[in-house]
Amino acid sequence: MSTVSKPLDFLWTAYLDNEVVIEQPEDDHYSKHDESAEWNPSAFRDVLDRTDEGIKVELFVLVGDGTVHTVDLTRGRFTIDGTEIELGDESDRASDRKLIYYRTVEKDWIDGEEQEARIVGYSFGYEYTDNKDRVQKKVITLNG
Amino acid sequence: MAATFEYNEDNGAQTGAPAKGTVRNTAVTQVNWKSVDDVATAYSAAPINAGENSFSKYQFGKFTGTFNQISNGLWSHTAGALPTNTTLYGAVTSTYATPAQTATAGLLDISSITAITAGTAVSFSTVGPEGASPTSTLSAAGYTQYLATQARTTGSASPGDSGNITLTLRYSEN
Repeated sequence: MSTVSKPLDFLWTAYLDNEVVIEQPEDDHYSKHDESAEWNPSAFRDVLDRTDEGIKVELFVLVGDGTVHTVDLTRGRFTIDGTEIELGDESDRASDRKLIYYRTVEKDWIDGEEQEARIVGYSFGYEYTDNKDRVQKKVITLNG
Repeated sequence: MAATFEYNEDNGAQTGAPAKGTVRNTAVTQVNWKSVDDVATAYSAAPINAGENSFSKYQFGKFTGTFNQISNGLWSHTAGALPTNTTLYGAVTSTYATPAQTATAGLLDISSITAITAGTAVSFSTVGPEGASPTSTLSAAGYTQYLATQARTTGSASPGDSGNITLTLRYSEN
């Protein structure tokens, strides 16, 4: 059995439009974590629980390795370590932007032996439906 | 903390519907192609004769622990070359067939290196690797499909261990 044993390189904070702030704990545990369960949702479920209720994420921040990266879902703008980046969002329906966040993990067999899982990327951004009703995704990936 | 991942391997005659192995080995930490259908036997004790194949091998991943969703599953042979006259066949499948040394139907030659981003898509199921309706995402404890492989040789294959190769499974989690 294996998991990614080293601590997460980047931890997120989500700022919601009801002024609630949700911070990812280092153990990534959901607020309703059940130690006796084989599986638990991660802390990201706390964000999705709110968005399922219609509460919107305004700002999502990834902090790690002495750097700060953000995506502002109200404007469709990213900052990468302080530099603002815009990825061609032409939506006129800004309120439709939905948060995207995931980590990319790889597991190798090398010479027949299982290797420890490793995070190779942290991706964050958003998706929206454009003016032609096409789903567009704007995502930035940081190396893990 | 992230998802907890463990390789498992099914062995033995197919049983049930959908079919799976009679024996389900958990916490498998190695993959060696050999002339016996099990996990425990050392490959050195069950070599493949030139001109024959290994038993087909049905491994899969099990996800538990802490994650909201697993997605974007990909699998490929990402590094290392096989010896001359030896090929590696493989497939991502939900279909288990009793492992045998005859050429297993449905496997493709995966001897060439393929970047993981161009790997074969892997789906997931809460039922097991044999789950009849695997999905592209997993939002509870569950399994990958079978990552089925078989080494095949010709009569001209050289004796001894093959070189190192790397098989990679990639997935996204949040």
